[in-house]
Amino acid sequence: MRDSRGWDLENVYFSYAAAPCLQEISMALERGRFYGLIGPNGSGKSTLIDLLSGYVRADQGTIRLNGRPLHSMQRLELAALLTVVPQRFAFNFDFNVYETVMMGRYPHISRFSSPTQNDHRQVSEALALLDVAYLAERSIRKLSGGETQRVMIARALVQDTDFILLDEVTANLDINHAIAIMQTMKALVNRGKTVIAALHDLNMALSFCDHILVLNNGRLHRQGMATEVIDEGLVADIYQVSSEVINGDDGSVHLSFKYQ
Amino acid sequence: MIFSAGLGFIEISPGEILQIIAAGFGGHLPDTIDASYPFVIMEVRLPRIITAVLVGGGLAVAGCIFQSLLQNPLADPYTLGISSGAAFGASVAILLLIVGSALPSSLIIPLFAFGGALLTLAAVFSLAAPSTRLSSNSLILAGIIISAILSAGISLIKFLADEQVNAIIFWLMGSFIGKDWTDVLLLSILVLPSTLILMLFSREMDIMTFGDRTSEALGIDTTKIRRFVLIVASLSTSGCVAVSGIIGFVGLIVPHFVRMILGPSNTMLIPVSFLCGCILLLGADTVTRVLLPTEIPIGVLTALIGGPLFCYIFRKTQLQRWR
Repeated sequence: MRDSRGWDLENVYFSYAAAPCLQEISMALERGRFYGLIGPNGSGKSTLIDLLSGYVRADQGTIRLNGRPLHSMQRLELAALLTVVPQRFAFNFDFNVYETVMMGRYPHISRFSSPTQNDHRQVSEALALLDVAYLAERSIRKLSGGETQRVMIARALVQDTDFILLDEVTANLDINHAIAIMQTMKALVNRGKTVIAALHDLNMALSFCDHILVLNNGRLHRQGMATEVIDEGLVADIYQVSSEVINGDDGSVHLSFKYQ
Repeated sequence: MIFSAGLGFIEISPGEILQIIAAGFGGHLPDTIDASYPFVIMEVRLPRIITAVLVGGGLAVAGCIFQSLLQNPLADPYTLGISSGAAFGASVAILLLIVGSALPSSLIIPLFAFGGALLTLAAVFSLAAPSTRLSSNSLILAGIIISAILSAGISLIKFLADEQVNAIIFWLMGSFIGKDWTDVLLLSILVLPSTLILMLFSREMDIMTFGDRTSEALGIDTTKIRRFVLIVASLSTSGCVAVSGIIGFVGLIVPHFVRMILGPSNTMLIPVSFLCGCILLLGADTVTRVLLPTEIPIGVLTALIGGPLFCYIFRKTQLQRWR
């Protein structure tokens, strides 16, 4: 029998204002893997992240996490299992970086107590891991896009959940920070966590993800091992761009795009 | 408060006031104190002063809440149209009094104002509710629409009131004149418990300023909390407006002022804003009652004193920021 820990989607449909967004999505996302979610703009990646996190509810079909239907779980129960780093945030007030990251400990701190030594330690570690410790006292509103993104990832990490959903989090980042974050996620996966990352960068997906989910026009177009799924045919199919897969001597694989 | 109670046309020392208050609770009134003083203190000044303090605190706390939850630093307790609703209710009451009504005005005006505020709140929520998750934009928009309709209604009533229009205009400017223990009781029931309840939700409100997706990811049911907290803050505001009329400025400026100094975290912001709001309106009311030759409406005074002060501090912090 298959391990019931992880997500299980059964014939899921979701539409937004009568326009179908996702259709006929059936898949199992197993624990301990690094999933890359790829597909063109508007293919439904963010919507799928919203569904997996329980932010929106499927119109039809069921989504289970660890064998339990998502919609039967309380928000706080879910927060103990999964965290999300969305594409966008609102920053209207001058919270500093440290306070912002500490908010990630919210599910672990009861209403009438204050952060413990352990909470402070986790926050400091996450700040160091994401290379934002030097910004601790800075207002969240006075950071660059990339710095903000790293702070919000740090905040998600201190939530300390088994499942991590990332929606295009490397889009704003310099290449060194993008790579560092993907490496951090890979290390977390190696320690037993499950990461699902919506990605634009196919080479990032190839280099770091074990398993690729391809969405196109709201349907699950293909899925499987990264090197088996991402190839010239797929790129031509869904992006209408010609490309070439290049196998490096060290066993690495990457795509080279042709611009004419 | 004791000190403020001593000031006025008849000056009474703080010691004497304490003795009068003690006598009010069953103690013996010393012969050295003029027999008219207990009435001045217990029936005129103290209720008015306590009303001013509670209204100040209530409006300042409501301001914190509306700014945090609507994710908009420009929001104030009146953003959702509560003031317009209360003003409309009060105007209707004043009009009824003009055409003749058996009920005493001290009862009927706050009652209608409170009712108007509650009806407005219900209308704004039902207008905004079909939108997903009761978003701040749809709430603000609903508030503006309902306010606009009510403003037209108020204008109509002013027109109908004809020569008695002064009573309405005076009420709209806000005042603590003639407040009694009934007002204090109404405010205590609404303002104090709501402030305590709102303090319990500080952390959720902090997190919710970052947007719904991340808040839900952290386990917060944003729609439920937004509705509950806004209703609590609105009830408190409705009480304040019903009793004292529309006193602007406090709910907008006090939270800003405190945030500049203490930062945006609601854990400190709410209690400190409460205290600052209390002090601001107590001070303003004492000034208008004691120092000025004729009482000018409290709402006008708070804006006249607080406005320039705020400009000064705002300018100073902006300069520091760019250095």
